[in-house]
Amino acid sequence: MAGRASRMDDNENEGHIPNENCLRHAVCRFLYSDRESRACPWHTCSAVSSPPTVRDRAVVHSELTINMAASALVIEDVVKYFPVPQTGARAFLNPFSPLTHPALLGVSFQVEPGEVAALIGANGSGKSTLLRILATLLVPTRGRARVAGYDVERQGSHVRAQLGFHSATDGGFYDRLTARQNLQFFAAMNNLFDTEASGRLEELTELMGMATFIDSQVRTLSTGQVHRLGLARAMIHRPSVLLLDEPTRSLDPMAAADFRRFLKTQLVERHGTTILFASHTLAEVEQLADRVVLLDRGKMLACDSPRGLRAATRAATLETALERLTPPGFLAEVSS
Amino acid sequence: MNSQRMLRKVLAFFRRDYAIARSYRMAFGLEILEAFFGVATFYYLSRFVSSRELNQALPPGSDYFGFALVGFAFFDYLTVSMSAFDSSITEAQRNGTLEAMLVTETPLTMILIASAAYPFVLLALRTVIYLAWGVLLFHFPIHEANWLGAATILIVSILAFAGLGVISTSYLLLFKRGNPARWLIVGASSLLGGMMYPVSVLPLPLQWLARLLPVTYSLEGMRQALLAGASFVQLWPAVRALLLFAVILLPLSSVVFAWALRRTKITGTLTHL
Repeated sequence: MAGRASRMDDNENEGHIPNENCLRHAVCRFLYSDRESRACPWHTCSAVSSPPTVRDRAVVHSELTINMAASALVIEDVVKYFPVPQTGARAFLNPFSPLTHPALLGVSFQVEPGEVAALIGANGSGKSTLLRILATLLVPTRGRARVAGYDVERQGSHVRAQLGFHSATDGGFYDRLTARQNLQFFAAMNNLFDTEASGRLEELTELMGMATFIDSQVRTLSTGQVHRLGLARAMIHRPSVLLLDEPTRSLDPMAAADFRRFLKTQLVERHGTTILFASHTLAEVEQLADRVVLLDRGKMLACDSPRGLRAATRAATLETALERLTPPGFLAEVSS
Repeated sequence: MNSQRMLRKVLAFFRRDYAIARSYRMAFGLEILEAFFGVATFYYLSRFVSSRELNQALPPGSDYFGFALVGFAFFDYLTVSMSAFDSSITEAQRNGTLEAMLVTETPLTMILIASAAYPFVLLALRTVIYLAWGVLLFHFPIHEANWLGAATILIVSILAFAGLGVISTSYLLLFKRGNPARWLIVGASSLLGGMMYPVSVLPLPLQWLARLLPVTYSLEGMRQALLAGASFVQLWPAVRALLLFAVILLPLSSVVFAWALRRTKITGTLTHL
């Protein structure tokens, strides 16, 4: 499927041959610069005099059509509205209130296999909603999302076979079972045979440093240990796509650094796992992400590599780049 | 999902629930003791209320103790059917495992069914304990029982009750609190279903209403099989009625549940308590 934005007509007029499968480069071209986009014969506009407005970016992104087949994650014009919570007599009289509260407003981007993408935004920007749509826990109001080529709405079971999901906001374990028993249970839920599950469990125990507590009841574990267990659960069936909601939130700085190293070296470089994670830590984003998706109140403000964002805004740091791309006060909300 | 995979998952749920139950060491011992108190209470109550008039109202060959014990022990299959699915969802919501399970390759329908495996096995065990206390200490008459017939009645009863249980769970998914479906079904069934007294003592309009409840056929069939040793031909009307309930309620509950599940995925309240 062709990946074309309205601005790209100019390039065609200049005699460039657009690569039909190259939406990524189209996106990069729109966002002015990217280390890979330089290799794209279609990419011609690395120098732009001034960054576009937030509105410009949102408009042009929504005009893109996306290469659905090749990407690990495809989010195409996803809109999500929730009903406004009601209480008392109003809730009783109108149990099915209309969906009027916006959470996502036409978000479109894609993540290639083996790529690490970060979702950045303040609380309520739509990061978790987007992750939950991809994890098939929510149905989008409009638009389409695909994981490894499978539609999240129509092919939920195929999608779940491809992904691991972990949210740092909840424990989600059986307190009276041991860490091992919990992982064995979730391995069975993911269709792993007992022997396969045992092997994988040993592997993860070593990788995640869980040997000291794997046979302890979960109720006796520290927050950090439960968090590591959660990550092990998300990875137990070797998913090709990992969705992580604030993956290092309850880890101490050393453990967080270890975990980031683990993600980068073991999962991405060794196994080619695609990762989409939501984070409030810019250093983490800069260290891990090949691509940054900037969300503000449900709208996508930008989608580019950290380097691309810095180049586009002529900023020395990602923080400054984000400051220039976002409304005033955005960054304070993100890091709060 | 193939049957082997399904079975493995049911086993995984069973192992999980058993391991959790085992971690509360005293609970099972207390269950045995509780069953003894229940059976003893019925025995002495039956000696107190027993009369020629009452015995005439009971099914042939049974006394009030046998009648009440079967009613009490097997009515639990309705209450467990109505609560097992609900509890599996609320428990998973409470400890946060629902979201973790929903992102696995196991669909929620399978999670519901598999979660009910342990409660039903436990209930079967409890029923055995009830009957064993009755037989060992209080002369509960099982010499004529048609065990295969009783098992058939039990299986079709569980199928019919499960449909009601899934409808009740759909309500819980949507509205989270105060489950009128469960309240209405269990309340009406305990009043009209013939748990502690025969349906024949009710006024005629209530007897008609009782015919609309699966538990009425379930308890009648169970008493015929256990107390009167009824043959399969004699049990057929009860089996047929329960099958009809199952055939109507199971597909209906699946449709209602699928709709409720989709609705909660739209509103984002799937994991809300």
